[in-house]
Amino acid sequence: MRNLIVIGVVIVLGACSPQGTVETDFDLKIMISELCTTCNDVLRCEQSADRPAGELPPIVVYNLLEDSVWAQIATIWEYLIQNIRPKIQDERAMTIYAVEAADSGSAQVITDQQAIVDAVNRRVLVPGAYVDQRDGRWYQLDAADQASPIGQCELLGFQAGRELLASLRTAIQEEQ
Amino acid sequence: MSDAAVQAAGTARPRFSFALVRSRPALGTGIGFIVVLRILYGLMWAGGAVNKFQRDYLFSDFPLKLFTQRLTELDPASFSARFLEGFVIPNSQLVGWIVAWGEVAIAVGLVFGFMTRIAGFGSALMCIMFGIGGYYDASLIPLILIGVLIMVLPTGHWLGLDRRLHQRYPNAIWFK
Repeated sequence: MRNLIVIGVVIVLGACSPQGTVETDFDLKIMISELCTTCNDVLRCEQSADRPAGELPPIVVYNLLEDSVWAQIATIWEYLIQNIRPKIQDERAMTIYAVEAADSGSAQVITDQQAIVDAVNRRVLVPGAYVDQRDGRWYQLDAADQASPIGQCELLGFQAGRELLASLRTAIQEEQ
Repeated sequence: MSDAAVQAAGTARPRFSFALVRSRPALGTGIGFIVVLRILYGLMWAGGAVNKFQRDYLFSDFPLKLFTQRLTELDPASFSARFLEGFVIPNSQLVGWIVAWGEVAIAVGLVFGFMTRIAGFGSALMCIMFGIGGYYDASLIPLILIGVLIMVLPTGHWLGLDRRLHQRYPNAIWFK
């Protein structure tokens, strides 16, 4: 009995190790959680009007998809070690919609992409760019001036996001 | 009840030990697996409880912010969104208390094998409530099944306090 109690106390104290977790910041402009496995986030990024044409299209819609069933089940391990090794980043499957202009209705879709939600630096890393979650600024990774954002991003609400995706898919289908 | 009857009531089930693993390998290994599963599951709940206390779930507006944030990620027409909006958010402090202390109780029950069947029931119920409250994902399914398994099997009698408590209080349903 005594051994059982000692083992239990050691185990519980082990679970209370002061490793801490990544602080949840509710004031983020781009509130994409590294913990959400069922979220389907729609991030609309638009380049500043004064920017010259670059590698990235003027408007990009990043659709971060929900995790697969097995990836969701695998998070049980993350719950178990959450106080020993807090989750600091999340990889999300993503579809990218490149839009030529806001009123052109012309879009191109790129599937099977990957986004990384970096909970330490509060960034969403996407191919060739990243979005600062604190202020929504959009930065190009290989830009000459790394400190200057190339535009601004907005996380759309559930309904607005679905409507935008539906309109983009319709536009793509009509083009084909 | 006589001392002999009390003794018999407490020893009707096989006692987990390395001798049991040697003499009846299938049974011993199976019981060992279930015991490890129970303790790991308890540790997972302990980790969750520690997280709640680290984030001051009981005395801050953290639960309110968390639930409000989750509401933005859900389909407004879904049952979960309506449940969050109509019950969880208006009672966020109460829900925070129930979740935090519920996780503590479940963790203690599972790790120490104390009122283990009730802890198993509580864990399954808590997972179901998480799902209803908008935090559903596929990981809840195995977690609910583990809770049911612990509820059905006398796991608290294998490396747990329930065995001794059942010997002492054979009529008490809590330690069966």
